[in-house]
Amino acid sequence: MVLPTTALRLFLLILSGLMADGDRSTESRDIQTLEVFPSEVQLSSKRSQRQLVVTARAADGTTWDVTSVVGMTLRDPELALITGTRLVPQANGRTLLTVTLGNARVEVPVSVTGQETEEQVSFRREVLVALTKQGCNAGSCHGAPDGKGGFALSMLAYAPEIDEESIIYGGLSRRITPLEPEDSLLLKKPLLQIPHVGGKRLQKTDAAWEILHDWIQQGAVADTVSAPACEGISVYPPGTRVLRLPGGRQQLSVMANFSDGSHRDVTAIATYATTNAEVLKVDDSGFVTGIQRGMAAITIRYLDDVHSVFFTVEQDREGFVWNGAPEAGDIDRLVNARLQQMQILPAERTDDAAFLRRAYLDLTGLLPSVDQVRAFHADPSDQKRSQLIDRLLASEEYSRYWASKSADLMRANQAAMPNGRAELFVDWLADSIHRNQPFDQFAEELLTAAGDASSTPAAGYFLAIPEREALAETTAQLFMGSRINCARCHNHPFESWTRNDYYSIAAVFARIRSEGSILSVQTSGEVTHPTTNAVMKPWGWKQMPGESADTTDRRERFSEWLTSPDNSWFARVEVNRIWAHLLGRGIVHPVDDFRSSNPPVNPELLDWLADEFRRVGYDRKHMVRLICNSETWQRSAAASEFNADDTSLFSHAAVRRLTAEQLQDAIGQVTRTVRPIQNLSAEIDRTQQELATASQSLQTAFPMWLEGMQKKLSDRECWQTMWMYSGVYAESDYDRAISMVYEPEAEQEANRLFAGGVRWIRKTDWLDGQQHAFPPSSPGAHYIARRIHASRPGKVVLEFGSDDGARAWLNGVQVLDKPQRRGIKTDEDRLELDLPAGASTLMFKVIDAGGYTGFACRLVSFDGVPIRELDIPLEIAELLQTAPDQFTPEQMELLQAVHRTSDAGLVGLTQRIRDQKRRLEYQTQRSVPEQNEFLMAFGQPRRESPCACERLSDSTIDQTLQILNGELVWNRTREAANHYAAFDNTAVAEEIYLSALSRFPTASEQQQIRTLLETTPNRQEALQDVIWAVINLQEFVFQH
Amino acid sequence: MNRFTRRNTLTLGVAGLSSFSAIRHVKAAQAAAQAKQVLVLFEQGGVSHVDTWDPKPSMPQEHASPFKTIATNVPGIFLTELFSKTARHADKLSIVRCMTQPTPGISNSHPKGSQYVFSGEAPGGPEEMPDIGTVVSYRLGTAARHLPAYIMVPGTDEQQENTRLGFLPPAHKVFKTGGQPHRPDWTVPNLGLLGIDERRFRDRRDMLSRLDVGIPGVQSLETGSLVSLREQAVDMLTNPGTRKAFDLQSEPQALREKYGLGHRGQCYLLGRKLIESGVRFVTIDCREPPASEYPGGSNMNWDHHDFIYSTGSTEIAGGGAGAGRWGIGTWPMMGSTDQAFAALLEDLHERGMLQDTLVCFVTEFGRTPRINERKGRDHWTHAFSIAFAGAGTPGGQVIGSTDQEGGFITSSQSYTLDDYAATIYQKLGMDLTEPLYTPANRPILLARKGKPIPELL
Repeated sequence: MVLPTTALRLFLLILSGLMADGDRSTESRDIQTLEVFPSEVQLSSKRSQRQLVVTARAADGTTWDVTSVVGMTLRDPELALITGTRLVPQANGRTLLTVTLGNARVEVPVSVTGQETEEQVSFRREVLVALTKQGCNAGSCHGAPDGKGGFALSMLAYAPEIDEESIIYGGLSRRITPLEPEDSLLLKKPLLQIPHVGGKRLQKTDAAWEILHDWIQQGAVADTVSAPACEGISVYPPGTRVLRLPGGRQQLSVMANFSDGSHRDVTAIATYATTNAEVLKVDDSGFVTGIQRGMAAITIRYLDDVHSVFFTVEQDREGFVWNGAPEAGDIDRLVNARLQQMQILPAERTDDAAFLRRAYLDLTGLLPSVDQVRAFHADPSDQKRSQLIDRLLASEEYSRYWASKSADLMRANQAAMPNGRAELFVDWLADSIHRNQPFDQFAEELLTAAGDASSTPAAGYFLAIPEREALAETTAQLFMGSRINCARCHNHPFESWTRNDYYSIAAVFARIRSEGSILSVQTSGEVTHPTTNAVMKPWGWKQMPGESADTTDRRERFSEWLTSPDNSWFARVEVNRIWAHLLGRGIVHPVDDFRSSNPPVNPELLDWLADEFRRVGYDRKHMVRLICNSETWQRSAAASEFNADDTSLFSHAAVRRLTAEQLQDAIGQVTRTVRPIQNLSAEIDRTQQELATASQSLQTAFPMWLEGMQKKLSDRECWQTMWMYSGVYAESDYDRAISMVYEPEAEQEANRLFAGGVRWIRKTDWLDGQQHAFPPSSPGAHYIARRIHASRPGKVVLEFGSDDGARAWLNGVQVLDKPQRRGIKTDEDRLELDLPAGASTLMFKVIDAGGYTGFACRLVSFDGVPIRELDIPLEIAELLQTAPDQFTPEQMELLQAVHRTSDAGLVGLTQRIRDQKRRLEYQTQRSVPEQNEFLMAFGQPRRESPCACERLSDSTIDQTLQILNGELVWNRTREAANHYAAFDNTAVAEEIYLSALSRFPTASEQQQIRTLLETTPNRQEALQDVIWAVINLQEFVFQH
Repeated sequence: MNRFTRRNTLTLGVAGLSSFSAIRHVKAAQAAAQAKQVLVLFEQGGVSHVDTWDPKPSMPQEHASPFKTIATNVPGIFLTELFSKTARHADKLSIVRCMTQPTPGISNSHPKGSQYVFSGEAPGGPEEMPDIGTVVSYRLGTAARHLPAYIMVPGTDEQQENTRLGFLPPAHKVFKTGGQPHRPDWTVPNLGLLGIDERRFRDRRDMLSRLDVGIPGVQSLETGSLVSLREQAVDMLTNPGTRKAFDLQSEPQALREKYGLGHRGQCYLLGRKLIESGVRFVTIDCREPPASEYPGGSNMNWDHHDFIYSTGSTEIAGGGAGAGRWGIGTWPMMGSTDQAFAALLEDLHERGMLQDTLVCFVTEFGRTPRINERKGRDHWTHAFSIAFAGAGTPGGQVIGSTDQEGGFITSSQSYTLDDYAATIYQKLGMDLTEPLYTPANRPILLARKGKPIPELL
């Protein structure tokens, strides 16, 4: 903001002196004063002009816009024209503008200078702005990546140099005809004087017409290089505004500020849009009119700058009387203040049944058990709601369910985080929630994680998103609540995110490197801007004070910036997410789309929540507890005349369809086809005891086992260890990948292959004779190596095939050289190798040209005798060569561990405990939910995007087919009938309703179910039908 | 920024029927439409054009197709003998011999190439593009409320990954029948009552409507939409028309034999039945499933890198990536294709269905004019052929030409799969200048890189 303060400030120039009657025909309130912005008009060049904004003020301090109804006269009308409510200069001089409304009157000094000099129309500051205003360079028109009809512009003029080329020199120069400006295609097409696929886009009365016409007439030249750049816009009135209906309206005034310190009124050529056309409209001259009660923003664009003004439109509702709804704290106070302003009545507190079901579903994802429902209804305490909230917040189910919400957005799927890493990652998220790790510490731990993801699960976040641009987008969406992805290719259409911003966030991640399960941080690596090729300064550098050496992990400084108290995003984005999880809708909605053109529906509430979150040290559970204990969260879903139309201000509870996972679990719980979760901890204890007993007896059997194993091995003449894999050595082309000698090749000459610097990955699942794929490297090299043991010298035969070419070495001597490209064929190469007695090392290099790459290898025979697969773990086979008394304690421990894992009983118990802890039967609780038809139909996210919109909550025909006629529902209702068969015809209704709906059935419901059970000959089938019907009830499928 | 949002489209939307505004759009658009429905025959893997649509009798011997060039029922149009039955219907066909696929990186990939065919835009752009069928379902809806608007028959596991919903609402996702329609025990999952008869289903629904009083005091679009979708689902499950649309057994045996009793023939026949039942957009993607009668055939698509002229399996020593197929001239390949396609054209013609149905025979690219050292033909994107029939497409027409080896386009015009997509949209009367919007309000033009193929209009 570089405007001189005098121009910004609102000046009261002249009082009308007397309490005037005002203009009763347009305003019923008494006007005390008129205020004009600007207080003084300076028109200093031929092409300058000035928008006036006139505000009336009543004795009680209320203000309203009267720009469009005042009278305006110039003392010397020769000096300027009054066009609408704008002043346009004519001749040099000084005069006074008189503004009147009724008896109110004010005078504004006007000075006109510079009229003797012609002024060139600016290509960048005027022509491009005019094209944006007319929609020419919109993404769906000539701003599309390939333009339209052979005429391409940069979207919203983000690249003026492209537009210069296209307009001035493109189209065989027919687009502009300076000698006959009106013959220019640039004018004739949008005027529809000749056919234009885009239709009529321009009128001769538009400000844009004159700009384009005059610019062409002046010779259609580009701006000089030294032309000042726009540094921002200032909008009057600033901040938020209230419009009161009837009659609420507001004239805006927009000033652009340039790098040379000059300012220009751009009200007439800026582009305006409303965020909600039902509430607010705006015309081309920046005149805003309220339409009906509500909130909306007007977004103003001038070149790359986007600015929004928030409006609240007030309107009286007949018969509205505020009901003095109870308030449990600041949340309710702030929500109610907004409701009262909008004349919406809050709903009543919901009943115990709905509260109970809501609390369980929102906090744990599950339904309460029948016993829990009965106990809650029977509890007379008036503290029972807050006690329940505390209990649920402390539960393991809460942590696991809320972890899954984050996991959904962080690509915790088995493809992006393979080999059990997704499970570990989500377990880590759940643990963070369980111990209530402060959110800033959580973000920092996540965003600076490095190392092996199997021991540092957080590193999985970076491994799952290999591209730094995608990391920038994901991180911004998750922690800054911003969708910056538009700015990858062009400036954001509704926001000030530029490509510079985008690539400087990407630069934060320029130095991380992932290999297999390991994430490391390098000391070099840069991101350059794709068109300017400038090396980008990483985000956080400019934003934070102080110098920073660039050799440290850039992510640390970024996290520091992210979590610093000055960063307004951090706390707001997270509390808004928590709020949205609990209330079904964010205060900023969608939750990852914070921008000035998408204002919070209740800014005071969001500010308060963010302040509170910071105050308590980013304690997430505290925020959840606060919200759940509010009257706002505990409101009924029942709508009334005075709130039915409210969907965003939290006057009543939002009815929400259960999520895919919630629904499958709820059906499991009602049909008793999943184990009761409340019995789980006792079960885990029991299994742990069993495990302890079993381990004990195994310990005693260890020496015998060891002896047996060693005997087994010494009976073999030839055996081999499992494959070790080097990972990818990526290369620029195939030939280089062949000729380069990478680490493993070099190390083998020094005969330190398995002890050197190569980080070998043990491939326990690469079995002999099968085909195994490498991660594609397009192109690159991969090494695999193993040991072969022979009890005596002999000839071993093996078969090998690879995609593409390969080389092989036995004990450092090359035994295969087939580097040419090929497809995989499992027995393409047949090697006959002379083995010495003892251990030999066999290594292959597989060279990849791109696309699929992999190999197959099979040990066929030793001295003509076929070789059987070894049925003991290969990895310890070598270890077993040692005599029992020479094992180190570590080796002993390893062998014991192998012993334990070779015992089916023990393995089963260990697995059972892990599964029980991971609550595999429950989709809301699992680290990685199942992917089945039912869940997919109900919009289960694939965990491939950081957008909360990946989870679909809309109803579809697939869903109704699933729930009416799907296999899951059919199988489970059939099983459920067995469980409910034990209840008599009266009790069964109660049992099912408590389980499914957390409430007792009404007399009529009970009666209907009893009648059905009594009159149907096949009771089992009748029970199935009842359960089926309950599962299909709206009250079941929705939470309310 | 006052665009319709995904939300209000969906609350009103049911499968195949999108928002009211979209329906209004249909009326205006359909007035100019030449096609009401589209039937795509997607032959995946890259069909060798010089062996089928684009014969090259004067090719050097060592690279020539062994199949004879034959005349068709249109003087001056020639095909190879692998299309001897189809040749009798050349008067209904527009054969485009100047297809090309210029996007780098797509050519070597069947998944990307298939996705390109399905969505009409090379994958890898800033937004994931929905299938053409999904867009059509979203824009035009269906004429048959009891059936999905976009069906794929049967859709293999491989293609599961290549179809895309993109940014459109899930109600418009492709519905894949799965399975092997030629088998007598084949049923379509989820479209028949599971485990119970209609009478019991009706009783259940009666009870449900008595018990389901809604949620007290609640008036919500969400619950309302569930209830109306439930009615539609019940219609799909109990409407005899649904079963009939998929019931191949009800077709006369002679007609079934005419299409060919195997997998491909019956899939093509099912395509006609679904179009007849009002399905807006049907894709047949039906490589022969592995079966004992085709030993060695583990992946019977058209990816003939090896032994393209084998009279049986391509599982021959010395082969590579092209193993697992059968030679192009065998029954499970061109034999069944020629038979089924000819029968389909005749059948549609006799029923008068070619009037309003656009039929497209497509593949993702062609194959090399030269035969490689494994006696196969590799991928070739510089030139390949596809064919159209129906919906006002002029019959008996060849569009474009290639050199005498079929390697490069010699005609002044050349077309891409983007143009193919634009042609479909245009034929359906859809306005190519009216963009779709992503949930983030990004405008997306239909077939933005394509132009309708003028010779087909």
